[in-house]
Amino acid sequence: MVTLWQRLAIVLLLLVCLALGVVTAIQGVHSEPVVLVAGKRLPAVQSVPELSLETHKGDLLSHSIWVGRWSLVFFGFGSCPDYCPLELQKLAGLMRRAGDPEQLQILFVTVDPERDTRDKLAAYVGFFHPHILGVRGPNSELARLASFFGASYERSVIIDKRLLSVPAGIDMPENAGPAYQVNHSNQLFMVNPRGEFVAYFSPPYEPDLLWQDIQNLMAHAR
Amino acid sequence: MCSGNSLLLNYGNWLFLSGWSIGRRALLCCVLLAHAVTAYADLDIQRAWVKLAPPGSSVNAAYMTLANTGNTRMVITQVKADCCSMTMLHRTRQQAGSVTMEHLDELVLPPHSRIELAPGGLHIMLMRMNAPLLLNHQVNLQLVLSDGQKYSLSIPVLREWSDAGDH
Repeated sequence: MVTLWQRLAIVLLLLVCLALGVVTAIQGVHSEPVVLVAGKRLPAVQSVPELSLETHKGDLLSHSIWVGRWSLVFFGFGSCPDYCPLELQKLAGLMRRAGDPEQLQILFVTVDPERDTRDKLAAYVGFFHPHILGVRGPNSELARLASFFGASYERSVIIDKRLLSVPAGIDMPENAGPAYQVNHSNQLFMVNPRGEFVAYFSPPYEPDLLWQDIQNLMAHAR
Repeated sequence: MCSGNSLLLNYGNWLFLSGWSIGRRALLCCVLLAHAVTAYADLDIQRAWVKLAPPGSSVNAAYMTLANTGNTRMVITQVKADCCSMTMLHRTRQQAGSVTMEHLDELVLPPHSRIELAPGGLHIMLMRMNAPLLLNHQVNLQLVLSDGQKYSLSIPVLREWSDAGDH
């Protein structure tokens, strides 16, 4: 014969099972894998290292730059007449969609700090959107940041009729003159509001699909 | 594409030797002149513009659609611009996560072909500017063909081709 205590225990057990079921169901909904259309997520997030780089406003590129907002990082250079302006126009469009620069920020990292002085970088990025951040610094530190994201770049110059390759991290020779070639990464790198590299985008990507991915990543991080 | 001048010279010699009447020569000269104009017009250029560069940038890119409407291959070997002392034909190439600029010595237009010079692809680099190009400035370009012919055009500086309006 089932006692009153046993009945109560069974009811309690059923209630616990029900509660666990509800919790599991809720977690199941939120732990669905984020499927990106235009981009790829990293298998494991990586914290962006602290480096001696600065924005065109003079702020150090410390951990606090990344915290509290999503970031898209692009490597280029200001003397790029064709590709970089095209890309920055797309990124400025994304910022206008996001509306709030506290929600999504764009960082344009120059890999050509000799020509892209702080003032030139400020004028360059400001042409596309007032809230795009230009980032510059010593070649060695720029190379470390690029290496962290997996962004390759190199420069080449003709000096005394000889083609000289200037790899990432190496200063451009002083006698290089103002005209030289820069090959650089064409990818976009996304950093979450905890300062962790989470995903990247390789062209060609449609701005609509890119925006869809960004929203998707933002929604599932809440 | 034929050279109108050389065509006229060759046909002229032939006419001189033939001893045709002045009227027939005049008629044929008209035909030949028309031929020369047509030959020049075999290069059709549309949607030509220079992209406004951000402040501080010392280079601009020019874009256009080139069409060879004739039966002869055309080769553009040189581009000159009055705004700068250096121009280059470039192609932006994307491969394996990186973007590079490829220099082209010449631009070949096969018969009845069309080539787009557009953002993210082929373009004319304008370098060593005399002065920064401002919005709605006009840039005078001259395309030099391998047969020596020159094609001149004046194109506007715009933010985007879609801003061209009535250009």
